[in-house]
Amino acid sequence: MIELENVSKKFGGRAAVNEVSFKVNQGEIIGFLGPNGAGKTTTMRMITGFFPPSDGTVKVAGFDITQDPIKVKEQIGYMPENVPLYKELSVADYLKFIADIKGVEKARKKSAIERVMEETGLTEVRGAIIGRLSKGYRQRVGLAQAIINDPKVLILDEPTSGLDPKQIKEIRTLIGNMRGNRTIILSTHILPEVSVTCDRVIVINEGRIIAQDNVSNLEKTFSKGSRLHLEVEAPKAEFLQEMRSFEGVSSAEEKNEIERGIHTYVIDIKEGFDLRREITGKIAKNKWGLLELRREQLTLEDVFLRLVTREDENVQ
Amino acid sequence: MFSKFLGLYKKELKIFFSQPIAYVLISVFVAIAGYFFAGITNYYSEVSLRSMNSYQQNMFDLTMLDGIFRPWFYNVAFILLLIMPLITMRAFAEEKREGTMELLFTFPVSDAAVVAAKFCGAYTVFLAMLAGALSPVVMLRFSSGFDIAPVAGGFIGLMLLGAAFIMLGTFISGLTENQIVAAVVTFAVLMFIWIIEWLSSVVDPAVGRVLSNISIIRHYDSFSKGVIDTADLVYYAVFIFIFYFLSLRVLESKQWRG
Ligand SMILES: Nc1ncnc2c1ncn2[C@@H]1O[C@H](COP(=O)(O)OP(=O)(O)OP(=O)(O)O)[C@@H](O)[C@H]1O
Ligand SMILES: [Mg+2]
Repeated sequence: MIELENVSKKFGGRAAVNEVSFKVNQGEIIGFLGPNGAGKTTTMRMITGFFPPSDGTVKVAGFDITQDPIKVKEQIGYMPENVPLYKELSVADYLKFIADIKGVEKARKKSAIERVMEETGLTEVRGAIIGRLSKGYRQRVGLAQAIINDPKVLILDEPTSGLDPKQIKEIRTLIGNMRGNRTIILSTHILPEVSVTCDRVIVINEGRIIAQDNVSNLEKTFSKGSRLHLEVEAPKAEFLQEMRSFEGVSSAEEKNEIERGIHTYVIDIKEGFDLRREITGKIAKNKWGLLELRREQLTLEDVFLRLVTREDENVQ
Repeated sequence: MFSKFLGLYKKELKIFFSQPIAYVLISVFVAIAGYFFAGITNYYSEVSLRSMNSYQQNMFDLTMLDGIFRPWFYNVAFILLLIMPLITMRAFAEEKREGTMELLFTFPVSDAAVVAAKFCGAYTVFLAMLAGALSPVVMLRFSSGFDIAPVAGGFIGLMLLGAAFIMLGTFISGLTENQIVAAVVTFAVLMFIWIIEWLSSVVDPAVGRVLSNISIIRHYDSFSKGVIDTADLVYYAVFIFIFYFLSLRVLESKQWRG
């Protein structure tokens, strides 16, 4: 449905997006994940035809964005970051305008507007001036305008940014309800968002794709191993040295000093090892005091951080 | 395609009339134009009365067209010069500042329709203003029948002049995201092509002829006399086309789309 081939975008010689290629199949929900300035918005703007790529080709539903821009734009509903709207118009007037400009047939215009207002929960505020709506409601108007002509592709740039937890949940549910046959790309730098809504994640950093896979595979590939949180009464240097001497420990760091002589530590364990018994044994043997031990599997957040730092290491 | 243009056009009008400044601008224009009209008409009737009393009737052959309408048309043109930049200033500047242009560019419409709708929206407002200014003229027509044709010529001239102002203002609004800057620059540029004729007397006569032909108000002169000259029509048509074309170039340019 969406196809990018070696797409780059340069701003004054600096590449914001660098030779990016990926494909999205019909009906897939893709999460675009990356830190600030990674190039998420820039990539989305090229797919939506806001600006042309400096290099490479973008195709949506088989149409090339530079050759058939209008055809491509007819397939896409787009909600930009920060959801720009005409503040002076009422919700209903705004949606009427959107229906006109997206070429919704006259006979179906009214029902289309009613349908999207219903779907996005805007019916009660239909007469309200957009400038006076709360952020959450403006976000809904942004979603409503994106889906009014029932597009095959939805591009949502940080659809939940700046919302409170309750509204984030509601917007996520809305997005979930929108899938059907639709192909959706949504960007975020909040990780739980992708694990909740997306089939596949494309991780992008400094304009390049550094990983793409489904959420659980990404977790499997990169969370090889686990992490132990310990609170131990022991001489710090000696304890760390002992921990690092275990085969299977990839790193051991002190986190905090709780009291004199009592520290918390984080120890990362490689895949295939479970050192909890060995570590407690070692502590007992040295007559140190074990106050707490907790194991956790690495979350997507850690995976992401690892991806990003791994990339940084490569660059340097 | 036309329904998309219509949607854009309706949006322009809805937004314009949702702001208080719309009503202020229209009433100020109508009031000032009416005030000038009353003043000029008064003066004219005084002068013509005096000349009748002094048995020099035949020396007073200033027609109503020359005595009332021509000076009034020039006044109205100048008021337009002051007010039109305030009507066109937000056209693109505001869309750019608010980011709504980003969505507009991703809708399945052509830039040509976007610019045309901006122009037509502002032009509709202008026509409403002009219609308001017309009312004292209509009243005068009832009290003292004058020949309508040359006055109509003057109005057609104003309609072209207004269109030229609006197209230029729309273009300049696309160059910035600050409405005030757009208004001031539009005003300055309009002023410049208004008075450029003055330079023609101090430069080489050949250059002078060119300069006075560029002057936007010079081409209004025949209209104010009720004469519609093809050369003037062509001037305004070319002027409007050039700035329509430049507006399209601006929308395509890097400045907007990075
Ligand atoms: N119009 C522009 N002109 C110049 N540089 C730009 C422009 N737009 C984006 N950039 C640069 O391109 C890079 C990528 O920006 P982009 O907005 O795509 O990041 P992002 O992944 O969306 O980040 P965020 O999470 O903050 O939204 C940034 O370094 C940014 O400064
Ligand atoms: Mg962004």
